[in-house]
Amino acid sequence: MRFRSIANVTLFGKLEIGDGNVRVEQKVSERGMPYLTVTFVGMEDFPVSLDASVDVIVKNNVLNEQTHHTVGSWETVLKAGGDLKPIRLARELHPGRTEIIVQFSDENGVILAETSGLRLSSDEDGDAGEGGGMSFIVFRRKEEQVFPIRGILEPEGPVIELGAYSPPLKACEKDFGIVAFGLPSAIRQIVTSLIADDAVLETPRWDMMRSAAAKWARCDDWKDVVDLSSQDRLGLNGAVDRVVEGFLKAGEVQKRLKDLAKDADFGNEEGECKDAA
Amino acid sequence: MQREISPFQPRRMTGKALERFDHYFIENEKKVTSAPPPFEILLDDEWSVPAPEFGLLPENPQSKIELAKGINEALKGRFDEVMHDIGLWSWITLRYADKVVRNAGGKWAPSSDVNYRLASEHELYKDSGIHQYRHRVWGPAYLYHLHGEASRALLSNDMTKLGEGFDAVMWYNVATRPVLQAIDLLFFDGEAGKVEGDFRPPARRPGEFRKGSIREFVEHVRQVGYAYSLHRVSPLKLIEGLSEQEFGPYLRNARKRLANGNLPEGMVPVETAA
Repeated sequence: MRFRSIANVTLFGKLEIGDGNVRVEQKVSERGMPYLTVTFVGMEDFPVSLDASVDVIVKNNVLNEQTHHTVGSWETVLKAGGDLKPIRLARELHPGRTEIIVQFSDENGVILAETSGLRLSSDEDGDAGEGGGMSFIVFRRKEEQVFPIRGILEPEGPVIELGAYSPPLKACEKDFGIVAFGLPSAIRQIVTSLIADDAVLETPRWDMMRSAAAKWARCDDWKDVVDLSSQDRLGLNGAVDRVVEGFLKAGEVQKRLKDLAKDADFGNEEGECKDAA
Repeated sequence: MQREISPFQPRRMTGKALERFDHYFIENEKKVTSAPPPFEILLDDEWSVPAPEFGLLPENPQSKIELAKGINEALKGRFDEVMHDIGLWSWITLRYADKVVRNAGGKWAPSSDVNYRLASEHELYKDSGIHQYRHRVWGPAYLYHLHGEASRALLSNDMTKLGEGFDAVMWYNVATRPVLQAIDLLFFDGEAGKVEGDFRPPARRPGEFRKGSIREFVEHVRQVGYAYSLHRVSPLKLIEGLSEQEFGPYLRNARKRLANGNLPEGMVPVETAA
């Protein structure tokens, strides 16, 4: 035998659902229960049968657990305007080690279409993981906030909050001012409070924040950052300077800044600087 | 009058006890030793405190599934709540160390220390190299918590070992109900009540037949998973492409069980045999 039969092929190629067509977010209810929201966007004409079953498959790669949530037929999803009912989760999912697959299948279980594996947004408005690899920091925007940007210590993890006059959330990572000045100052705020504050912040996201800060400061671990801050030569400000400096020198941030600087309008021949001169 | 507390009432180890417990498994990792685990700390109030919110653990489980089922029953549906409770799981592990820390000759032979010491939630989320399911007590209890009796084929081997099939299913994260039912149908001998094919397959040269192990079946399942939803596919579809030369004895077992109506937990009766 020189070949092996695997299964009867009933469909030549399944349809791929574009990442932009499905948005999956993890949220936490007021009672502290995590849940998923799934939204389909612009898929009204997606070429699958209306009676195809829609499943949301959650692959938790921390606990090696795969669960599936049956949503119903594609027709019911379309009738609901593309919004699925929230999916209750037994436990909070790790944004970086969870794979979400939205799958359409027929009555025999043949996959008709599926997403290629969605990344999880970790809170209300998304996170910075796409840009800076910082999935542990949650970004959100609060209209009543008057500061353009500020760093906040929440029990679950670090939060960077954008204010009423900041660009929209999605536009922030393309805003030179936010990346070059806003983000470092928010990180400065978080790290300073983290060193100075005695609050017990023991969650995986805080762990990741401390470990990233230590890496930016070229320290072995967070304890070394705290030790730096108690040295007379550096003090709290000096230690935080090292963290922020390291953050700005990180490869991804440097690249983003260079790209944004090219496109930014710093008052060239058509701008205010020339007029002023 | 004070009621006597059963030695099978779950307890939580104190910090001091955890240190002692960890020390034993770190010190004796992958050794055959005459030193038993520190049983003397098991019921001493100085080393552990009772957890009266739980029921009694099984006194003398004879198989991995009996142990897994008994622990789940004792936890009264609160597995998710205590999933990362190191004090509790360490105490339960020590309670059954007599069963899970021995080698085939009955000697104390702890394997890798992480197979007995539960990682904290932080460690687990931080370090992608930790495979919690390999814990000799927590792992089987976790699989049983997720799939109940449908997991019996993967929980029917030696209590001291993880099992090749269990490792393959968890490693590739394909523990769905149809996959477990297909494994049960093929590899579980309903009459003898034991699992077959749970071995590590030897390396193959190109063109050589597979040996028909559970691990090789899991590889096959992963291939099928590209075309079929592993949550919705029939277990029969998962086994229909297997060759007689490779999986012959197991296919015969599946046919026999289908003919006798001896189906895996939750499988819908079918008219056609595999």
